[in-house]
Amino acid sequence: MISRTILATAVAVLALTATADAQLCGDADGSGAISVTDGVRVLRAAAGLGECELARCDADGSGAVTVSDGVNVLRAAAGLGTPTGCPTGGSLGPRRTFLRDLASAGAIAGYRALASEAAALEVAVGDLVTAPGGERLALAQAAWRATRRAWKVTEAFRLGPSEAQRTSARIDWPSANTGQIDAEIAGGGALSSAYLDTLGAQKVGFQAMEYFLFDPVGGVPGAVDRLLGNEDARRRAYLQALATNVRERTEALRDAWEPGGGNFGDDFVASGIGGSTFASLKEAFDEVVNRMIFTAETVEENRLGAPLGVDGGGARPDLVESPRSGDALAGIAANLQGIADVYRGTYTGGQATGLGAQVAPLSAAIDAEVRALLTDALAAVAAVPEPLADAIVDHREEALAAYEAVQRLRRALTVDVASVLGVKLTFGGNDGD
Amino acid sequence: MTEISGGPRRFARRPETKGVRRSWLGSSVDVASLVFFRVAFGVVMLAAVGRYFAYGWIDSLFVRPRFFFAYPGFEWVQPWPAWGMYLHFAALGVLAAAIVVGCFTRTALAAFALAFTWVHLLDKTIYLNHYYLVSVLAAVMSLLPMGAAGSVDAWRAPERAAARVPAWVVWVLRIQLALVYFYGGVAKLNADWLVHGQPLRIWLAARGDLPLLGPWLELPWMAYAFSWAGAAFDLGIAPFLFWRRTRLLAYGVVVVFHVLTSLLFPIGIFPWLMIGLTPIFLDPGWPRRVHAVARAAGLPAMARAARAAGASAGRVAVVRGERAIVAALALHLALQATIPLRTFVATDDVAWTEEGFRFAWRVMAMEKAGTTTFRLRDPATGLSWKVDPRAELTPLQASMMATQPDMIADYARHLAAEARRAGRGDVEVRADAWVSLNGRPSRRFVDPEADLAREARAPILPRPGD
Repeated sequence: MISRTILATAVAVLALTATADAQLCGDADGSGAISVTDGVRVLRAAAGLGECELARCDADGSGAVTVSDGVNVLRAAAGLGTPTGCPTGGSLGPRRTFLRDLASAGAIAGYRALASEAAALEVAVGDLVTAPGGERLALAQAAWRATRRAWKVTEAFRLGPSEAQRTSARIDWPSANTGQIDAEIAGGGALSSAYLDTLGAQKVGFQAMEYFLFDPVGGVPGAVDRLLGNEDARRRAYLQALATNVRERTEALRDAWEPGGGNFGDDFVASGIGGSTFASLKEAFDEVVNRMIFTAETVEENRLGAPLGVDGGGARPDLVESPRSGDALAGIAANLQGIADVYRGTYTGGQATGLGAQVAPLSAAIDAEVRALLTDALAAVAAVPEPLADAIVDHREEALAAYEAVQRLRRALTVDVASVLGVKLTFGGNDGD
Repeated sequence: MTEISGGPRRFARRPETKGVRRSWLGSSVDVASLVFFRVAFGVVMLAAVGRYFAYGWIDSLFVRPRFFFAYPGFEWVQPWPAWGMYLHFAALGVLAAAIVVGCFTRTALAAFALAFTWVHLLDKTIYLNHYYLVSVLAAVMSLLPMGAAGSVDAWRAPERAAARVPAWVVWVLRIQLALVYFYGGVAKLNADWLVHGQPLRIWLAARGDLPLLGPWLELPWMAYAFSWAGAAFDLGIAPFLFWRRTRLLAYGVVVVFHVLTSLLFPIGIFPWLMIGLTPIFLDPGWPRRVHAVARAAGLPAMARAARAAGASAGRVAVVRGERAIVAALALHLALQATIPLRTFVATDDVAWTEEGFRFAWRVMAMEKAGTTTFRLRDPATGLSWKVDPRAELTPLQASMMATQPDMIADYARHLAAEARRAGRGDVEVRADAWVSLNGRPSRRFVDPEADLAREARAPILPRPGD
């Protein structure tokens, strides 16, 4: 009886091993990891000197094992990529596939778009400071709005290089300290991008640029006027340095993710199987969900709730983000769009696997509810007229409706999604049973 | 209390061989498995205490919190200052080591039971079934002759060492463990577990990254297989452990089951505790057989370890006040068998309401998450304001409170008291609480109109249908 049980267990383990090994694309020998041996094995198969199943060896998904696959696997063994094309559909597993798509279609595409917008902003600001004028100011303002929105979309997956480089603090601190900026202008520091790197977060980034580009009292003439004169040379230099600094920061972020750069994208996808940032797939996956929730919470509490005074005390227009440009709601909408993209898979780089694809098989009801809440939240924010600083007083009902819609969304992400995906500390901070 | 027998007269009262005594209760059994039980318990407790230090839990659970959710009637149990808490856990470690080596065994077990229970009475949010089990076992063991052999106590006073113990001693421990498994299985007899495969679908999908097993865990049928197998294991393992013909195989299943759960779920010491303790169901002399086999196989170290589990001659440990202790333990087991039943009286949906959830061995029975914020209102001025409990509570406390109505009410009363202290008078406190259970969309959990400052327990709204 016992010996039969042991035999059955051994057979089951062997069966599990054989089948589960087929899950890792590029792992030709089924060792559980991608090594040079796998690359050699694929090359031998490509040369007709051995066999290798497509599910493990057709790294580029061409339908055949070729030299190209061998090269891809060798690159992966050297840490230069993660083969993902093996034709088994779920070869990466659903959660790693989600990370792969988030990295390629979401983060890399998103940061490319951000860096591109930042480059355009730098050019527009360069034109403006060269010859300040209303038209050029409008172009610079538009470029500023577009760049800021591109950044806000990416906040939903603000992890890895963004955190390591402190990009958020350096380009999007919630408010600018205009007094300190004026002091810098009045001072003697060399106003270059490198110099700005040494300054505090309240003197750099979008909010500092907003101080130069938008004048809520004087309007366009006022803003232009402050850049025109000879005595304003340092203002122009500061603004130019700010634009350059934002461009450099966003490019550094993009490059950190790019396959030809820091290749964080591949490192991220390889979490738990060779990636250096996250020890396990679960850790990386949990980080994504938590970032998304954090963004929703930031919108709910800081960007809508605090100005609305939901904690008591009435409206606080002074707490509205980007008050000079009146771009607060656009930023909020971009934040929500970023969350929606991650959930629906509707990334900047095209339709791909979203978080919803992980939720739906576990709870179709929760998936449907979250999708509806995303739509509701986006619509509710769109229904609030800019600027938010006025809306929280003059259109308080709409603003409160937007806040409540975001609150419902945040709650669903925090409770329902995190719970159904096993993302929260399922059993509490210590052990659980 | 317990005492190890010392003189010939006492031995004469308790024959050395099985079957001599007429009554089942009066028969004696080999002490060896009891020694193993004590050592295994002590080793796992040493590891458990070590984990508190290693993972920084003393700080995060007992030093950092600014508010503790006290058990009713135990409000007087308050944490020591930080240094005191560290000292307390160091003492627990020393006591666990004393249990392992059997030094002042009875005192060490009693002190460990008190000190460990004291720690877990500090805060309801850290309630775990297996910590409750530790407290119960330590208390029960302190009444039993756990140091009769394989111990410093027996070495220091060989005249008091014993090779056998009354059979009821072993049976008390067996029944205690059997109750844990049984009620753990009863907790799984519900539609979510058996029909919907929840929460296993959630838990297994989250472990899809495990080597080898991972891809299998994501298969939909696997959750059902785990659910049914888990329920069957919990309900059926005790009878198979009790039955002589199947108990060895059943123990093998215990090992496989608990190793698997330790790989899949973060349940800390529980699997190892059960793996270490369930050999008590085997023939009481099993360590001696291991000794014989090890000696024959030329494994001297293993043989020495096994030999240490048993004393020399066939002396039987005598428990002073045996009748009273047996009566007390019988009452204890009756309560252990009865207390979990209160959930069926208190509510028809314990997973949602958590009425009678604690101290009922509802081990790993649900996946529940929630979020709660409070709104305070000063009736005198009409002013109201929101309070996010995360501002004061630790993440663990906030998350545990959010799904448990008594704690929501506890915190509401605390907020009201704080407001009074701040000179705001008698404020009203209402909760905006939402909970998701076993993969259902979250729904409002407690009555948002109820003034919780005046409620002992938050009024729970009905669970949404499927």
